[in-house]
Amino acid sequence: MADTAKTDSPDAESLRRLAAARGLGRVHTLFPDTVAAAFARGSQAMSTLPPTFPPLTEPATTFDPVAFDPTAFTVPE
Amino acid sequence: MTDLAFMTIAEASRLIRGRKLSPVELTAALLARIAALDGIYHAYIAVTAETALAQAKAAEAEIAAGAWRGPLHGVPYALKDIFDVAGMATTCHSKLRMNHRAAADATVVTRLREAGAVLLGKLALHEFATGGPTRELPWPAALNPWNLDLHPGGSSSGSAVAVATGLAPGALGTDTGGSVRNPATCCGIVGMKPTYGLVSRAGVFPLSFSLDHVGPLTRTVEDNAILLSAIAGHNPADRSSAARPLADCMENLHAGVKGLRIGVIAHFYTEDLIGSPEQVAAITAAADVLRRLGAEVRPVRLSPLARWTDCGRTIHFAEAYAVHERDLQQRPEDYAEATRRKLLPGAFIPASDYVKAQQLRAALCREFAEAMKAFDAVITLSSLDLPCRLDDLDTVAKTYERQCRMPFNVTGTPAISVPTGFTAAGLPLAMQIVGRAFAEPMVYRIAQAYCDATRFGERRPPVMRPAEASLV
Repeated sequence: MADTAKTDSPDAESLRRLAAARGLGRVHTLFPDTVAAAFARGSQAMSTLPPTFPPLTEPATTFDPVAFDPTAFTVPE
Repeated sequence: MTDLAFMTIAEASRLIRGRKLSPVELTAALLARIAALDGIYHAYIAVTAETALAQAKAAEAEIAAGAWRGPLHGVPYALKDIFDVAGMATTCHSKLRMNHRAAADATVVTRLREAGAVLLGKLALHEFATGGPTRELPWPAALNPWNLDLHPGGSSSGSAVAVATGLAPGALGTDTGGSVRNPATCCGIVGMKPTYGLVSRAGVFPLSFSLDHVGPLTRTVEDNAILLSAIAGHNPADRSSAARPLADCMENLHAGVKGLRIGVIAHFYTEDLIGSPEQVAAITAAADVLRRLGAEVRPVRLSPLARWTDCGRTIHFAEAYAVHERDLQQRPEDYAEATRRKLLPGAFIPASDYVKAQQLRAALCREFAEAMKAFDAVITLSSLDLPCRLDDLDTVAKTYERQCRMPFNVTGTPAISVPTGFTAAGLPLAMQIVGRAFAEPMVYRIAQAYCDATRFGERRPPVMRPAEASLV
């Protein structure tokens, strides 16, 4: 993530609602500055993707259903 | 015979096997040293003295009966308090876990028990392997033995401090973004993050499941290889465990580096970020040492450091938040502030960023594998900066942004931190040696040759007194 803070940080009320929507109402009430800092840090976009990076074709992770049932693709004799 | 406190695992093992050293004598000496000195260093959260002596007595009896189990039989060790030991709390150095009791041993604990090793106790860490050194926690933070006012590195801080101060000959830590290598660097010892999946994490409290690694911290490279050899191996019950054995790390340990091709990733610390002059001078000198020993040493260029750390940090934040979400929602006040600051950003990572980070990770792994076709190993800095004051939490947090360790959590490839000298003020310096996946023997071989040639790891920290530190 970039080191610069996102410029469109929400106002205090918007951040409170955002935190509440994530179940973090209590932590926002107790530690509002921590939540504000966490929002700034967490919502910074990944900024340094390689120029040739193909996000639409690059698989994120391999999902292999056979890994959960090794007999699934057993070819009958 | 070497002073028992600083005897290596290898030497202790030889003497114990030859019945020239009693495991009970060694264990009792270390327990006495812990009792005398840990009030200064705060490396331990719990000392298992009775169990340790019982295990040592059992080992002694077995060896006397001719049933030597292997190089760790009767040899003491300690654990970061993030590994389950049946019947003990796995506190993770947190108020949230003070009443926990583990039902079973972690796989690595089982392996060490079967190897006949003697558990001395459980060690301090940054809360949940991510927070920071703070007075808010139920136990004090471990202190840097080279200067008690300074950060010992984390998160496996107690592991490194115990080993550096002769309070354990070896210890286990965990490494998600450098948490074995960072304290090893700061404390002047050897810390290995092995290949992802080589060591089972079953029974280890998670931080970030796709970046977490278990690794050993020791005073010598050989000891590190001995400890890793005991804990590595497939665990069918752990889906993240690799179905591949560790290659023999001892066979070519002393084969030297003549003819090996070693890359230097210098742009991480000379262009992408600027490392401390003393760290940079030390790794430059280390490259010259490797060259003089016969290695072919030349630069290698990878993606900029920020791309690796962006990728790793995004995954780390998202996965760690998933682990802690419920407790952060329900009892946030039970975490230290430093820990909340590390965990809460994950609540605001867009799902698309997590997916992109995983996509980027695959691309970076391919990039690294391609680059490594021309090299047997690469070196780069571990920490860019020297340890800062322990009570300066903002600066401590910044040191975690200025490091070259996360790239190898992203690639999952083995990376070891070895000492490269000392600053003018007497603080340890270090570099990483990094290999291909499952090439631990090559990493250890290069580390051994370098450490044999330089012997920086043989310097011991002075025994401090609390009056010498302003923070104790």
